[in-house]
Amino acid sequence: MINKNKHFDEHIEVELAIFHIGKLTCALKSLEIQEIIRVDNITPVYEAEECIKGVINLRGNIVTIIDMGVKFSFGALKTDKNSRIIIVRMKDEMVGLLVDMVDDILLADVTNIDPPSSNVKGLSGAFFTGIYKMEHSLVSILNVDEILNIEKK
Amino acid sequence: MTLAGELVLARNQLNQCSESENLDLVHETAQRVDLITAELQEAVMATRMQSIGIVFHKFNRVVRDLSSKLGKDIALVLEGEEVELDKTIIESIGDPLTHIVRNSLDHGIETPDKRIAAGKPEQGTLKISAYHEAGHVVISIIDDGAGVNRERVRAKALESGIVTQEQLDNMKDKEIVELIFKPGFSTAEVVTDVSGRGVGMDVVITNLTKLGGVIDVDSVEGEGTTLKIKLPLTLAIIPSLLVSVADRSFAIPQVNLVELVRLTGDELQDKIENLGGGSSVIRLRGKLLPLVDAQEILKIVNKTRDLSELASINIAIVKAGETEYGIVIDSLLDSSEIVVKPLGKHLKRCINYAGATILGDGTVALILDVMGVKSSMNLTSINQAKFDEYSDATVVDEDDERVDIRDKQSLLLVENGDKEQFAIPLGIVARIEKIKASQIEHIGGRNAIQYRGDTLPLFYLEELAKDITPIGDKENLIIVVFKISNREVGIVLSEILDVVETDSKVDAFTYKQPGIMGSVIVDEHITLIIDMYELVYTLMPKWRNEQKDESIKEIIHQGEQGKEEARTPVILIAEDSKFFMTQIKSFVEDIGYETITAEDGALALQALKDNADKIDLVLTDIEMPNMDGFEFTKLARADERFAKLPMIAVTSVSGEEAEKKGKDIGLDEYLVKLDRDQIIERCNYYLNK
Repeated sequence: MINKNKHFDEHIEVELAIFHIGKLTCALKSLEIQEIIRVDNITPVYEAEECIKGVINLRGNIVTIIDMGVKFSFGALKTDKNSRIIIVRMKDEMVGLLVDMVDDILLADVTNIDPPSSNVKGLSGAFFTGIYKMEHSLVSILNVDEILNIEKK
Repeated sequence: MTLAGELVLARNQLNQCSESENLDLVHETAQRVDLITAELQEAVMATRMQSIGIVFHKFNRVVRDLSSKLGKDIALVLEGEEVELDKTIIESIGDPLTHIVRNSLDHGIETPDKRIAAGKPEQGTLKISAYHEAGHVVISIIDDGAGVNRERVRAKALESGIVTQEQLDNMKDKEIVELIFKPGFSTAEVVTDVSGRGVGMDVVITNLTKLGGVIDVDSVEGEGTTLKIKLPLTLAIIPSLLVSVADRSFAIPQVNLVELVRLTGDELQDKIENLGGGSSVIRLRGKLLPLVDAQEILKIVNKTRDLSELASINIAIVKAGETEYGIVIDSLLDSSEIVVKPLGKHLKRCINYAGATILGDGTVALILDVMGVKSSMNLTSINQAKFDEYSDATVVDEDDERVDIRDKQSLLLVENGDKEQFAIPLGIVARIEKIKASQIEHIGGRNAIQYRGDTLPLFYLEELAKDITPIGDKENLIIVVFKISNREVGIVLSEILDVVETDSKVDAFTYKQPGIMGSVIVDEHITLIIDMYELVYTLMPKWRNEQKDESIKEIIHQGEQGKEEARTPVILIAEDSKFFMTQIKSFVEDIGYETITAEDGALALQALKDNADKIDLVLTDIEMPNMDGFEFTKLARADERFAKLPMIAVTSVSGEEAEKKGKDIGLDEYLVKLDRDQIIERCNYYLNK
């Protein structure tokens, strides 16, 4: 992670994908995202942790889907035509994050990114790497490693 | 390489014709792609296959080193080194196998002086062989050592608290031997550095299960131990059964599957017992198996359903290690080869799944891990205890049931006229054809139909059995085709209803008439069993004589050659059901043999000994009271006089396992009851030998 940040620092600008989880506006660095897909046919795994929505078939790979609404204790997200799954890499496997809507991809100036406060809307600050100040709103940049951390839960 | 090229071509073709909207062409190309993929799959898998010899060869050294260390003289015999298995399996099979071999050497085979004292050859033998069996590879490790000492196993199991005294008392011999697979078990009195360090056979089992293997142990005290490991050929692609639970698909690997059971109505009430506390058992052929509800294990519903209140249930009986249990599923979908894909790290805590697979429509189906389900439902600890208690209480009951179960017959239920139900023993049906009434030709006083360029003679039931309702004027008809005197003939019927397995008693008197063997009650209907042979032979007496002439000619021919005195051969028939006895007796007497009959194994053995020089052949049922067919054969074979006597099982209990067991103890042949031609043909064969 540290290395990656350095990498971004050199570029001064970083590309962010902006999306919503419930009322929270979040972002992920586009380099951490493998792809963004539509929600289709999730096979539920009932006895898994609550935040696991299920698994999908992504071109022959079984990908676990995490419901970000449950993960952030907002309650399960309702899937509709705007819902998207953001596929991120975790070591040698892929994991999907279910989010409400992806609305923009923009170049953010790193100088506008502040370190996260200790909590964001009641969530542990550890889930975030920073806050990006946009003109009208604040965007919380997710810490993928922390979200995918299995040991913690 | 050619295959890869072909695949590309087929793909191009598919792309092309998918645009042309010519469905036939798409089908055709899809078929080609299917074919090429199958070949390609085979070719790629073949490159992953390695011969098991790699693993076997290191045992030469293990055995040599260990036997000198232990002061034993042991010969190692390796067989089937060329048998090939997937690379991943070869890599992981070494450790469990070594463990087993060390165990055999240390606990199994005795020291030379003990062996001599036991009257065995000084040198012990350890035989490791690999062979193919029904799509699996079996590795067997056989030693001729002391076998598993039951007393010591009992004592040890009690001591280490694996079982209670009560459980022990109820255990069958085999179950006691299988105790060696329990965690924390070791019978070695002295811990040696070879084995007996508490890391027992349970680790072997766990490792094997990871490979999708199953293990079976068979041990005779004083004679040796046989361990059989059944392994899949490959791990990547496994044949499995797709089932549906709450409208979701799940896959159960075939290797874990024992059988499928469907219970409805009364049968369900009878066979499923609720033990309270949400656990139930199923009573299956005298065994009690724990039952789990798939909906419950998969946490689809939270409440436990009362299974005995459902209208019907489907149960998949699976085997996890040494435990068999039933999983209640909603319905069966398909059986297919699936590609196993691993689940993500977030799901590794879900021990009920062995992975996932992708179905034809692109959706994901989870693969059930029968070991995981077993441990997540605590089937061994909690239910087993209850289960043992329970089996104790129902012992009497079970015995009653066993009498009923005897002679299960598979019957094809058919209809002739309206409302009258008939049955044909399934074993003799060659095939079933659908025809139109207009296809039947009436020629020379007989009916026939043209079939693949041949004439297939047809008979109506009412031609002989006059009292039944005639078939009437129907357009769509069914013919049940069977073989008689090397001919194929058909019986015309109006409809096929079902195939059932029944254990009801056959009443051979009330409805007996020409062409009808007797009656049986199926689904609360009186059902008449059609006697196809009598029907045809009465209508075509010439055919019967033809066969009779043939057999007698052969016997006379034999007499002329002076091999043996020309006399009528005598056949001993052991059969407990009067009905079948009459049938089989009439089959063989019909063609001129003499018979001696016995109602069970014990009587048959007596009869055999009393008429030792007279009896030329034995036909025996398997399931009989007092002494069953296996026991009878074993004891008869033990007598030198009968070592070469042809002995044939005539039974309704078929299946590979029973057949193998039968052949092992010396049965020459395994025949299905009521298949007259087969019985006669085999009798003739053995008597003319």
